[in-house]
This record gives sequence, structure tokens and C-alpha cells, in this order.
Amino acid sequence: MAVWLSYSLEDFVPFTLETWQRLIERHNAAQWPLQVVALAAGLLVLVWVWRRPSALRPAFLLAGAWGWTAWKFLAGPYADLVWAGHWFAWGFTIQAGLILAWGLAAAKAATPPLPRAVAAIGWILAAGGIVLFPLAALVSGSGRADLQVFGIFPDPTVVSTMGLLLLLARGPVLALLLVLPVLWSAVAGATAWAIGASLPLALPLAALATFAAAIGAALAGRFSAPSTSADANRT
Amino acid sequence: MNTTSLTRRSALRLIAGGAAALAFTPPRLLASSPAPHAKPIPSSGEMLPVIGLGTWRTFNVGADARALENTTAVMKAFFNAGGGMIDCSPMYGSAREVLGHGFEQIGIPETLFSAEKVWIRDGRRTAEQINESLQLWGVDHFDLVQVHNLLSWEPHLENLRRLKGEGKVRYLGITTSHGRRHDDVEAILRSEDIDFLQLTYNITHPEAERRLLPLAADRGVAVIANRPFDGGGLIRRLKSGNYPLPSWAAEIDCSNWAEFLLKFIVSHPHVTCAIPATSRVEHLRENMGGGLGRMPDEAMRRRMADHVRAL
Ligand SMILES: NC(=O)c1ccc[n+]([C@@H]2O[C@H](COP(=O)([O-])OP(=O)(O)OC[C@H]3O[C@@H](n4cnc5c(N)ncnc54)[C@H](OP(=O)(O)O)[C@@H]3O)[C@@H](O)[C@H]2O)c1
Repeated sequence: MAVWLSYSLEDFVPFTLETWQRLIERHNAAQWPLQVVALAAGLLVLVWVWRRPSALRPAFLLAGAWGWTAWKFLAGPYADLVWAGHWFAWGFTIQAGLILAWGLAAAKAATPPLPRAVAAIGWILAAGGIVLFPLAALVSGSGRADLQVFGIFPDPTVVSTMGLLLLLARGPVLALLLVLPVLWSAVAGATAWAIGASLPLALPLAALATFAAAIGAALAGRFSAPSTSADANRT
Repeated sequence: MNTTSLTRRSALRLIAGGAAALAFTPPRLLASSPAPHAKPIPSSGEMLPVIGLGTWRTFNVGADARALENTTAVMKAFFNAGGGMIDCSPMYGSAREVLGHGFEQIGIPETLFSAEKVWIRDGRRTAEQINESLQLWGVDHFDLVQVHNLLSWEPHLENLRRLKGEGKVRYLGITTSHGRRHDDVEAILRSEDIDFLQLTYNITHPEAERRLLPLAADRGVAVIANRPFDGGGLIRRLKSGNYPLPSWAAEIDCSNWAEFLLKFIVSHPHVTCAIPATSRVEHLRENMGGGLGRMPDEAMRRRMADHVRAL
């Protein structure tokens, strides 16, 4: 038998579901009440993008969310459990830097219009990461053991980032900015699958939707004249 | 563990002398509970309880106070039941620190047989990683250090020999699992002087019986069986699938599936011990039962394997 065929997802995930849920619970306790601030910041980004779809201010907040998640969670209690945690933290830091650079560079650039379907996917993901993640934990009744808030935990940060990038970035820049979020979606999906966590396909599906939408946006960009209006991507 | 004065050669002679050397020793009497059977490490003759404790996943709980209390309770129950070998690795996240925390609470038991691994690609950093592990466990030497999954095994084995000379390590070995790289393992067994081989051997994965177990016996190498419950899936299936233990399991003093599966493994004449991992005291107690009472003979072992295969 080829050696690689003998590996399964479980071989790469060194903790159990119980430990994962306790990690979320403990990190929530350690970060409290920052969740409230993070949730407010997330909602603020949604309002900004709704009112005026420009990259600068959202990019600052998004970069902060990636950086905070990197060093407070991935390089912190997560790295206690997973030796690769520090590498992931560096990946998130690089993403924070890329988002910041894009925000500064694209501050005044006009955003070409988006097809309705693409914009809808963008909004669903952006709002999903910020609102649905915590809501799902509240509705399921699992409370702090499942409560993942944008800017505090990687998964909601990544999902909402993919949505916001779809709404605000275009072309090769969008592709570049999506690399790490898509990679993390694969890591998170594989981890959830291996430990038997709920909705293991949530992140991979979000990444897939983002990918499809990004291609849709690219095709639409090719066949339609660029808009000069900053509000053009509003659905 | 205390070292005995048996040399590798004399132990090999004992083995060559017949089954007597590999037969189970009668349980020693311990204060808290009957001690499990023990088998000799071929290279020294030192006796090792046949049920050890693995730590992959189950002991990677980080700084979670509640979980640390639980892992400490598992360690305490393990030593109270006469346990010896605890197996860990730098690959297992916080497991080394978690063990260190446990030893801080319960002290370092006399029966501890510390089995660590070296798991680093850079073959020059063997000693560095072992020193780090010593510190995390809170011990001053390791009884056994194994090259994890044969990663950079050549330089590591060379360095381990030096560390053995310095007294930081008492035995050295290699590990593999899931039936991986058995050809490489075989070549190493033939060419290198090692004390221990760790591999996957359980009732649904008995492949090692064909070549590696006889070769290890031939070379005077102790065998640690990892994944005794096939990573947990096997025992969970047997327990949750409502499969009753066959009535004849009572003939070998088995009252639960954990004992049944473990006795199959440790009764193999060339297996020295098995290292089931658990995060639960009640499971630990079941597992320790795998080293107590009557053991199956060859005919019974075949019957056990056939029975599980048919389920
Ligand atoms: N390459 C290598 O060097 C290598 C590879 C694999 C494994 N190993 C070593 O071998 C050890 C054992 O292998 P493993 O941990 O992969 O698998 P395992 O010991 O076959 O199975 C462990 C699983 O079985 C469950 N379990 C244990 N006792 C039980 C009982 N009485 N009833 C029901 N469930 C029980 C545990 O869950 P609970 O916590 O709920 O009890 C755990 O999920 C490892 O921990 C590691 O130290 C080394």
C-alpha cells in the first residue's frame, strides 16, 4: 500500500471534539467582553460597505480582526494544542498585511459593478460570518462552547472576509486576497470533519461559493463596461 | 524503573531457551490493586507491565484546568493499577506538559517507564528536543526514546546512542503505525542495534505477525503495540453496536471488550506491551484489566480474531 494512502484526516488533528469545544469556551471566557466590541465592529463594517462600498475603512477593521485572531488565538491557546498554530498565525498576519495594503491602495479606486448573484453571495457571507455564527451558537443552545465571533475566532473572520472581499475587490487583487482565506477554509473543514464537529462543510462550501462568485465577477467584468460610480455594486 | 543487570546477550539466550522467558510473570502484589502481568525487555530482562498508556489526542488538552484535573486522575488510576509505560511525543501538542502537570500533582511513581519520542527533521537537534521534553515531563531521564515514524532515523539513532551513554536515555527504539514502511522497519531491525520497536498491532490489523514480530523476537527487540483499539473506532463500534461479549471470553477472564482486545494483543509471545490511550478513568480501569487474569493461548487467540472478524 502506498504510504500516503494510509493517512486519514484524523492523523493530522491532534485533539478531540471535547477539547476543541473547551478551547472555544475558555477563549471566550478569556476574551470577554471583547466579543461585544468585535460584534459591533463587524456590524459597523457591514453598514459602511452598504452605505459606501470603498475599501479603506473596512480594510483597517478587517486587518485588525485577522491580526487579533492570529496572535490572541492561533499563536495562543490554539498553538498549545497544534504545533502548526504559530505558522497559521503568521499566515493570518500576512493576510492582515495584504488587506491593509489593498485598503490603502484601493482607497480611492472606483468599484466596478457586480452581478446581482455575486453581490448576494458577498452579502450572505459577509453578514453570515458576523451575525450567523454567533446566532447559530445561541440558537443551538450550545452557548460558549460554540460561540465564535468575528475578529476573535478564525472561522467567522474568514467567512465574512471572503464576503467583504467579493463586494469590494476585483480581478487579480481579489484572487490574491482570497488565497489564504480559502486555504484556511480547507483546514477548518478538515479539522471539523476529523473531530466530528457540527457543520464540517460550512467553511469549504463558503469558500466554494466565494470561488464561484469571484469567477462570476471576473466574467461579468470582462463583458461589461467599468463603472465610474462608487455605489455601482450595490444590489 | 530500576535497571536489571541482564545483558542483551543473556536475555537473548533466555528467549532462545524457549517460551519460559516470554511467559507472563505472576502478578506482583501492590498495595492498591493486583499488578498486571509483566514481560521482559529482551535487551535487559527488565520487566515491563503489559498495559501501558498512550497520550495521542487524549492528553492534548492545553491549559484547561478542568481537563488537567481529569488527565491527572487518569495518570493516578494508571499507576494505582500498577501501570508502567507512558508513551508520548513532541507531535502530540501539549501532551508532554500535561504529563508534567500530572507528575507535579502525584509525584513521579517508581513504576513509571517514560517512553518519549524524537520527532524533528533536523538530525542534529536530537539532544535539544529531548532536553525540552525532559523539562516538560519534569523528569531527569527517559527510560526510552524512540525515533517517531522513522523521521531522520539515522542521525537520531546515532545521537540517541550517545545520550544512552550519558545516561539521559536508557533504551532506544523506532516507531511506525498503520502498517506504514514495514520494509524500512525490517531493514532497520536487521542492521541496527535497537531495544524497542513500536508498531500498530491489533485484532483487526495483525499484519505485523507475519514478518516484523518474529524478526523483532529474533533480534531481541521489545515490541510496543500502538493503536490497540484501532484508534478508538474498533472499541467504539463493538461497544455501541450492542455486540455482547461471547460467553467463552470468561475462560480468559474477560468481562468487557477492552480486556478482550488487549488480551489478544499482549498474549502474542513477541509483543511486550500495548499502549491504549484514554481520557477517562472508567476506560482506564477497563483497559488495565487487559493485563490481569488468565491469558489466551494460541488456539484461543485464533478464536478471538475469527469472532471479531465475523461481527
Ligand atoms: N507512530 C507512532 O509512534 C504512533 C502512532 C499511533 C499511536 N501511537 C501511540 O499509541 C497510542 C495508542 O494509539 P491511539 O491513541 O491512536 O489509539 P487507541 O489507543 O487504539 O484508541 C484510543 C481511543 O480509544 C478510546 N478508548 C480507550 N479505552 C477505551 C475503552 N475502555 N472503552 C471505550 N473507548 C476507549 C479512547 O477514547 P476515550 O478517551 O473516550 O477513552 C480513544 O479515543 C497513542 O496514544 C500513542 O501514544 C504512536
